[in-house]
This record gives sequence, structure tokens and C-alpha cells, in this order.
Amino acid sequence: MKLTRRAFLKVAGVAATVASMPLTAKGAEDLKTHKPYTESGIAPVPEKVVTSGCMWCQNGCSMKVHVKAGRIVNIYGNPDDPVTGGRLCPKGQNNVNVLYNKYRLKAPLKRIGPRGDSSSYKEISWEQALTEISDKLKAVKDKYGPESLAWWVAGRSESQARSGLSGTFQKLYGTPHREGTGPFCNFAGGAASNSILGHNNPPWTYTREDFGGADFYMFVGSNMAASKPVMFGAVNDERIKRKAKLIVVDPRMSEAASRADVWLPIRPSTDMALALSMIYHIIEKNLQNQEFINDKVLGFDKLKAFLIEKKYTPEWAEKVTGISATTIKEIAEEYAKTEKAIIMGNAGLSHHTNSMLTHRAFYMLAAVTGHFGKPSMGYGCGNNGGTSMGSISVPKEKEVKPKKQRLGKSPVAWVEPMITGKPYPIKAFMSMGNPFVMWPDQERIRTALDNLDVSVYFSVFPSVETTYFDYVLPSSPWTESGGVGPVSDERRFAFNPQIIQPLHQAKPERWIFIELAKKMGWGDIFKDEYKDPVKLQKAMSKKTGFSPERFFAKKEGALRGPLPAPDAPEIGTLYTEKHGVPGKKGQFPRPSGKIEIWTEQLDKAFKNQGLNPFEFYADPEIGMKDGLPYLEYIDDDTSEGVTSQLIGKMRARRVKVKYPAGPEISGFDMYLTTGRPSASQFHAGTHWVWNLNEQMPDQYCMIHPEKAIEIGISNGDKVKIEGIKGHVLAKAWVYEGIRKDTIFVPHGYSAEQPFTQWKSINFITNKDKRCPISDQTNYKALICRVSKA
Amino acid sequence: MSQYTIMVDLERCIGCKSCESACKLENGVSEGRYRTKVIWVNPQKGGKLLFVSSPCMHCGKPACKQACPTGAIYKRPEDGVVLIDKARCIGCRYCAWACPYGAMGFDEDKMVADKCTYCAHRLAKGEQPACVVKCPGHALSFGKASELAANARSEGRWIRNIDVGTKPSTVYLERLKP
Repeated sequence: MKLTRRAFLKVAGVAATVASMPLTAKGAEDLKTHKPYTESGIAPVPEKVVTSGCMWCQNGCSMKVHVKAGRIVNIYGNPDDPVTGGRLCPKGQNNVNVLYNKYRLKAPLKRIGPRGDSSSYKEISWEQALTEISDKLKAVKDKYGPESLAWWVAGRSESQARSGLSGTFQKLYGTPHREGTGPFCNFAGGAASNSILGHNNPPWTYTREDFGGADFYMFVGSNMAASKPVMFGAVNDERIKRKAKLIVVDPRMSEAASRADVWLPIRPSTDMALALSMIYHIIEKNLQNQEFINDKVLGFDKLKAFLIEKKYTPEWAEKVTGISATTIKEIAEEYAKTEKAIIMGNAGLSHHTNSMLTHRAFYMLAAVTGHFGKPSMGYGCGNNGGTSMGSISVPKEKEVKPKKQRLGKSPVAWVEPMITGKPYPIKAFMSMGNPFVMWPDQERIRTALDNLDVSVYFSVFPSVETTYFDYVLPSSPWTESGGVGPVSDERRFAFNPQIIQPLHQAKPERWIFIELAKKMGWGDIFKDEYKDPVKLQKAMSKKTGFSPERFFAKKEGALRGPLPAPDAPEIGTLYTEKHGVPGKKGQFPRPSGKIEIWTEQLDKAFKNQGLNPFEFYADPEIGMKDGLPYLEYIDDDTSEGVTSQLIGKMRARRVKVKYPAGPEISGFDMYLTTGRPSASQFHAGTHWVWNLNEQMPDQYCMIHPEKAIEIGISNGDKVKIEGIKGHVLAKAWVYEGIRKDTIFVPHGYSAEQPFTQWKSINFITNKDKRCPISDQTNYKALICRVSKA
Repeated sequence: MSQYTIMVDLERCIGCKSCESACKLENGVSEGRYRTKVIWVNPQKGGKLLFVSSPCMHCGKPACKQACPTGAIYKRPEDGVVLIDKARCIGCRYCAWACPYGAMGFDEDKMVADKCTYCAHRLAKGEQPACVVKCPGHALSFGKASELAANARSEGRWIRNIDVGTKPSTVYLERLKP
């Protein structure tokens, strides 16, 4: 039979009906070869081309979506986008294969049997699902108080619903527990920036003139080649053209490090020591920018005195980081002397218990050398482009103020209250991401749902969650939903028109939230007309410049914030004398108007939790293994703790920096660090798209050849990785470009994915040892032993 | 004839594999099959990780063309693009055996040889190959061989010699430092 497209779709459609139950790992994969949507042969010539934006990462690429006969047939980059120039990474273009994907969730599901079993679910109508969920949410509120609802608004869904409407819902319900991906991503970078510059965003835009225009780049814990391929491609292009220097600090030779002039394989969790010792050397050589400091920096003397008192010298840092003192001195001097110099941090710094202080140390390094105020300079952390798009306002009398203090910044802080009921219970949980793949301590969190009155999971694809949660709601991705893409590092939002109608019974999250809110009795605020993304955008942007008209007037369909007023102009570089931060006062919107390295108020805020803003400590497992200072936690997630004075009013944990006399733990000879497997992957979601999964299908264990010989393994062998919390398997990638004492295992894989099955590395990570200030999880500095499986 | 070429810059390539996806979407290539593939070469002896994007070489003397018993493979006289007349292909795979670059693929559904065409259907519309226009690294450039070589020289770059006797048209720019 000649397989025409129509015949192919018919076959796929029939198969889809059979497989409408959530898929389990084994036996889910029946087709040997996955056909491209376009079947064989070239992509059809589009009837229309629509400007849209990518939904995946924080590069915020503008895209040209090719449509024919009501279907998306291909996606190209938008050549009119001044930032991307029409370039696109594998993920952006494969949005096609997210839409026309046989694994998609097709109807609302309700659990009617035991958890952990896909046959426990039956299809129900949207009406039944939303009625039952709203009844249960009301009951939880009546019985336990509104604070008992926790909502993880993660996922790659559009921003109007995810960050806008969910916020309105939260205000009406009265819970303090709504959080996005920040505490698993790079929230610490923005928190550090707020505490020192007075605003969360990095200073630069990703234009060639700004980020692309430096003479010196130092990427610390940032594999930008995989995390923001389009931007890294442009920087690398500029580097070659203008012979700029690139230094990459990373325990492994990442894709970004492989392009660098200098690769510095640092010991995991010690980047703060590198920054502090660079400052020490700069001060010792009198290379600080004293004029800039006198004019614009508070607390320099306190910093200087502390560094000297603690003897944070390059020689000290050599012992801590493994980077030679000579190298530290060289790069410190070169950095201080180069005006157009950029240091970029990312998750490699954020996924630690010292994340906030580490980011802060790099901000201090940039501040004392005068690297703020002009394009092509400064320090910034990726994924901190967050800027207010506006919201649907709630009348004061309808807003419910939580009576109980919020339980920490991280959603992980909800887990123990779910299980133990202390300090007060969480009884309802709604999730839009993959907690059972991406959260730390997988074993423990799987037990949490049993204690809840209701759990709701929103998703495009099935996953392990669709065999655990009470209700599973199929959401529409991107072109089906329309709306606004995730904000980019450089503060841009792209507007996505609704291009096609939702497939199957999936609905845009916007639609789901409005219908749910109506059933909660809030139909006067969640109006039906807001189901139209353009009308919703108009209503949300009354007080900001993110109006549909302004989006549509731009060839790239994207706007850069902050736009604090309808007619506010788009600004490029932040923290300049001219612009500062739009909508805020001064060049550096701290209370003093200056960069605040140290003030009495800040000192008090750190002391409140037992910390000094300049004091180095490593992650607990590293500290215990090597005898380095590390944190002891006075409070756990079930105790009251104190109120944070640094990241908003919420429970924070008190700690004490412990200086061990020597190693305190044995039997684990390796460091374990985790991260993104490659540019093609974005956490769990991309593993449901064959065209992306096949680009890095296996959970690998990057391991040095000498270690491989020691344990008797070859490339491709299965290895067992044992940590303190548990063990997982991975495929050995014998690789010279990694520290001999470190392995790298990527995250995002799980045993319930369709093409390849691996138990997630997050069965080893620890949810309890988090940064006391940012509440970020330590995903990147654990200890383990490795053996042949 | 003025030969078309893709110039692959080994320094600019960031290993993201966007070219693989671009090709698959534009040309309808299935899982596990490739018309272009990015090969990651592990660092050795203190060297760096290397990425090699590998489309068809569109050789001056194509080994595949010589090996083909039915004359299905031909080199287009006007621009040097090497193409397969799929109606004449009998699926013997001699071409795949002959190609020294591993650039010849196979379409198991239609049982015919399958390879990179430099997106000939896009060239016909005045567009460049899909992999080139999407490349985040600006590592792929497309054009007339002589012009691209002149651009590379002006940047002080060296071309890696990969010729094993078939006179490949796709060229590779050496890394700045190995």
C-alpha cells in the first residue's frame, strides 16, 4: 500500500485512540522508526508564514511558522529578529514534533485505582474534571485554610496563563504557595542581583553591540552552547571575528568550554572561592577602580577587611578550587584591566547551597573593577530576564491575604509539610512541570501525594506523574494556545498568535484556568473573553507597554522590558547613568542608589540566618568529604524557622558555617555533578519528541579515562553510580575533558520515557540541603562512587 | 560550471545539531537516518572537543556516481550538486559502500539511496540549504566555492585537506587551536 499522508494520519489516529491511556515505559514504543511529520519528501511550500516565538528556553527566539492546510509544516528562524538573525536551535524548530506527537495526552483523566499504575485511570469530560477539582479545592480551603494549596506553575507553557492568570487565581484563593521554575533554575542569580544592584535582571541585551561586543568573556558554570545555543553561536562568531578572549570555568569541558581559549576545570561548588580570591588579588595589586567605588559602591572597605582577615588569597583558592594561584592572578589582572569584560554565570553557580553568595561574589568582582554602567560589561546570571507584563487586577475586597507564612521559596519546601503536616499541612497540589523527574530526592517525593486531598497535573505529554496524580489535564502547546512565550535572559517576550485549533481534547492553560476559576465562583474576574490571547493581553497590559498593538508592530513580534507604562520606550543596557532601570529610581535602585556590597541592613539580613555575606563555604557533601567549610542546618522543612529579610516575606532556614577538622565521610571517592545533556534537550519534555531525543538518547556518565581503567569499564558500558541517597545507572562516556575526580550525569531522563528508559539522577540528589537564602537545590556538587554495572 | 559548496567552520560549530533537525524537517528524514550528522570527536591528549557537521561532499569526482550500476547518480553541470534519480535507483547500496565520507544514506521505506542535495529544491527558489540558514553558530556558509575560500582567507583561516581522491566540494575550516 502506498502510504499517502492521509493514510498515515488515519493510521496514527487509530493508534492514538488505543493509546489514549497514559503510556507506561515498557512496551509503549511499538514503531521501530518514527516518521517525520512531513513524511518522506520535502516539506510542503507553506500557504502562510506566521511570526511567533519559541516556547522552550530563555533565548526567546522569534520564529517563522510555516502553515499549510491548517497544519504546521515547518519552522524557520525569523531573519528580522535583530538578536537571533533567524538562527534556531534544534528545540525551536522541533516544536512541530511537539504538536503532531502520538504520545500527547488527549483527554482529561481521573485516577480510579492505585498510584504508580497507568491502568488506574479513566477518561472523563472537562466538565466533570473541573467540577470535581474545584469542589475539592474549596473543601481544602474550608478545612485547612487557603495556605494548604500549592501550585507549581512550571512547564514550558505560555506566560499569560502560567505567570499571569495563575497569579490572579492565587490572590483570590489566598495561598502564598505559587512558584515557577526559578528555585530549580537560576533564581539565586536574580536574588543576588537584587541585593546588590537593586534589580533582578542581568545588565546586558543579547545584541552584537552589547553582549556580543566584549573583548573578554568568562563563563562560570555556564554551558551557554547548550543552554542558549543561538546566543552562544553569535558570541562565538564575534569572538572569532574580533579575537576576543573566552575563559570557561567548569569541571568538564562542556561544548562552550571546547570553544574557549582557557578551560579551568574547577572543583565543584568552589566558584565562590575563585571570585573572592580574584577580588583579593585585584585589591592587593591596587587594580580596583577606586573612582567608580568612591562614586557608586557601598561597603568596599568591609569587603577588603574581611578578605584580608580570612586570607582569601589566590594560594588559598588554589587549594580549594584546584585552579593554580598563578592562573587566578593572571585572569584577575586581565579582567581588571579590560574595560569591555563580561562574566556570565548560570546554573553551574545556582545549583548549590552557596548559590546566592557565589553570585554575589561575582557581582562584587564586577563592581570593584567598575564593570557596570556601559554596554559589553558586567556580571549577570542567565534566566533572570523576568519582567512584569501586567496582570488581571483583583478588587481589594476580593483578595484573600494568607494568614500563615509561606513555607520557603522552593516548591521542594512543600514536600515535608505534605508528608508530615508540619509546620502546617499542604493538602492540594497542582503541578505544571515534572516534579517526579526534575525535583531532588525522587524516592521521598513519590510518597507525598498519598497524604493530599487532591493533586492535579497539567501536561502535554504523559510522564511518571500521569500514573501518580489524581487528575491529569491535557494542555495545548504553543501554536494551539497562542499567548506569550517565556521571557528571555535579556527581558524579551515574544507574542504567539493562536495559529491552529487545539488537537484532541487538549485545551490552552488559559482556557483551563478560566473555566476552573468560574467554577470557583470568580467568573466576574476570569472573563470568557480572556480565552482569546489578544483580548487577554490587552486587559493584562493596561498599565504596561506589553500591548498587543506594540507586539504586532514589531517585525520580530517581541518586546523588551521593563516597560512600566503603556508608552515606555524599550531600553537596551541596564544600570547605565542615563537609564538605570526603567520604572525604578537611580542607576542602581538599592535604597542608597549605589551598588551595595555591604550595608548594616544587609548584614543584619544575612545574620538573621546565620550567614556572613562574604564568607566562603562549600556544599555539604563536598565539605564533609574534603574537610572544607560547609553548612549545618538548624531548621528543617518542618520547623518554623525565621522570616527571610532578603527574598520577600517567607519562612527561611537558619544555618551555621561549620569548619570541620578534616574529612568526615569516607567511601565516596568521586564528585557528581549534573546538568543539561545537550542543546537538543530541555529537561523531561524533549524526551517525548523523537527528533530531539535521538540527539542525546541516553543518560550518560562522563568519566575520565584513568578512572574508567581503574574500575574496568569501556566507553558505552553501563555503570552504577551510588550516592548517599541512592543509586542509578548510566552509560559510560569515557572522556578526557573532565576532572579525574568528577563524573557528569545529565538530568531530565526518567524510567517512564518512551524511547529510552533511565532512572533519573535525581534519585541521588538531596532535597534538604538547599541554599538558605535562595532556597535553590544543590544539583551540582554531590559525592558518589562509580562501578561497572 | 561554478561549484556550490557548504563551508563548515570547525571553530564556529557549537555542536548543537540544529543542522540535523533542520535537514530532517525540510527533507522528511526519519529517526535513525541522516542526510547530515554532527559527529562529536572526543578530546585527545589535551586537545579540545571537536564537532564535525557532515553533509554530502558533492565531490568533483563522486565515488558514488562511479559505483552506481544504473547511472542513477549524476552531478549537475550548472552548479556541481550531486543528485540521485530515485526512479533509476535499484537500492543496491553500492554507492554507500563507495562513499569515503559515509555521506550516503538509505531510505528503507522506498528502498532507495538517499542523501543531502544541498536542499536543491530550496536553491531552485533562490534560498540557501535549511541547515545553513538555521545554524546558530554561523558555522555553515553556502555559496560559490571560490568566494567562500576568499572569505576564509581574509579571516586568516586554513582549510583542512580531506580529499581522498574524490575532490570534495564541502570544505572544512581548521580550528584556530586544535
